[in-house]
Amino acid sequence: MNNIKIKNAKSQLTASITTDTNEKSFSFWKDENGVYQVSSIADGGITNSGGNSTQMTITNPHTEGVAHTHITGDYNCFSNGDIFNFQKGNAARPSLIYSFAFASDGSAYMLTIVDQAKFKTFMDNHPITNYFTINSQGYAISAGFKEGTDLYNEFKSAMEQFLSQGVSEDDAFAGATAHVLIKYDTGAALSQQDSNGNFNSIFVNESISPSSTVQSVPIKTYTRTSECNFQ
Amino acid sequence: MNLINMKTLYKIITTLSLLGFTNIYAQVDTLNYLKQFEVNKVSYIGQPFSKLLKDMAQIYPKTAWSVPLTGKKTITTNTRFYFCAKELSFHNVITLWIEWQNIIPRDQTKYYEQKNDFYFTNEERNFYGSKIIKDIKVFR
Repeated sequence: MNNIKIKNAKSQLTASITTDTNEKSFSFWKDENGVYQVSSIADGGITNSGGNSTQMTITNPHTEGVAHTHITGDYNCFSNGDIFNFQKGNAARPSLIYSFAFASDGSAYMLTIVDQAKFKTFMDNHPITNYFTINSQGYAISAGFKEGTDLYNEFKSAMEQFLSQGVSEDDAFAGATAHVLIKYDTGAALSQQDSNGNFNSIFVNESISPSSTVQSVPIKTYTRTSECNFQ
Repeated sequence: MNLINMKTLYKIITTLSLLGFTNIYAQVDTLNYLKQFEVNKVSYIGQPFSKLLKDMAQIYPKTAWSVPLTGKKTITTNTRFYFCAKELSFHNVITLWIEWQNIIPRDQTKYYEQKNDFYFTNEERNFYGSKIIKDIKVFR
C-alpha cells in the first residue's frame, strides 16, 4: 500500500466512500520490469448480486492483491463471503495473496495468505456451496455463512461472546473472523491498520473451562491478542 | 416409628430421583422439542412471534441475539434465541433461529440488547412478539 500507484488508486477508490451505494474495487500486480501496476476502479461488490470485488478485478495473471470498499452500513472487516471469494481468486491466480478492505469510517483490514497449502486444504474441506449461495461462476453472493453450518456456529459464538464482553460490533466481527481463520488453520491471516498506517495481525485465544462441578457444558471465552497463535 | 421414617425416606428418595430424571430429560429434549416448531413452521410463518411463544409452553427463551452476522450492520433480518444461561450460550448452543418478514432497524434491536444485556425479558417478549415470522430454523 506504500507504492505511489497503489496509494493513488486507493485514494480514488475511497474518494466517495461515505456516499457510495455500491462497493468499488481495484487490483494490482508487478509488470515484467517489477513495477507495480493497478487496474482501473471497478464498480461492484459483494452486496451486488452481479458479482463481487475480488471476482471482478482479477484480469492480470500476475495479480498480487485486490482492494475493495465497504460502504456505509457495512461491517468494516471482510465478510465471510469475501474470504471465500478471495480463495476463488487465489485458485485462479496463485500469485494473489493480498486482499484489502477499506471501510467508510477510514479503517482498513488486510487478509493475507501465509500458507497456500493450508489455505487450499481448508477450502477443499469446506466447499463454498456448503456455506454460501453462489452465482453461476461459483462465487458467493451471500455475505454470511449459512445458518447451522459449523463455520456459522463458530463465527456466531465468537461474535456474540465478544459482544457480551462489551466489545464494539465492528471489533467483535473482526475478532470472530480472526477466530475462524485461526481455529480452522486456514493459512490466512487477518490484520488491521493502525493510526500509523501499519497493519497488525489479529489473533484470538479461545479458552474453555468447565462451567461448574455439576454441569458439563463448557464456558468459552474469546480474547483478542497480538501474540501469534497459528497452529 | 422406624417403619414410617423408612417409608418417608423412600418417598423422598423416589421424588428426588424423579425430579432429577425429569430435569435431565428436559435438558436432553430441548432440541427435539424445538424441532417440532421447525417441522411445523407452516403454522407460524406469516404469524406474529407471540403465537410461537404461546405454543412453546414447555420452555422459554433466556436470551435473544439480533446482532447481524452478515455484511450489513444496520439491519436485523433474524434473531437467535437461546434457552440456557447466557454464559453457556457460546458453545454448541441449541439455537432457535427466526427470520423476520420485515427487516428491523438494528438500532431498535440494539436498544433492547444494551438495556437488558441480551436477556429475554417481558420487553423483548413484547417487542419481538409483534414481529412477523418469515422462516424458522433450529440447530446446534
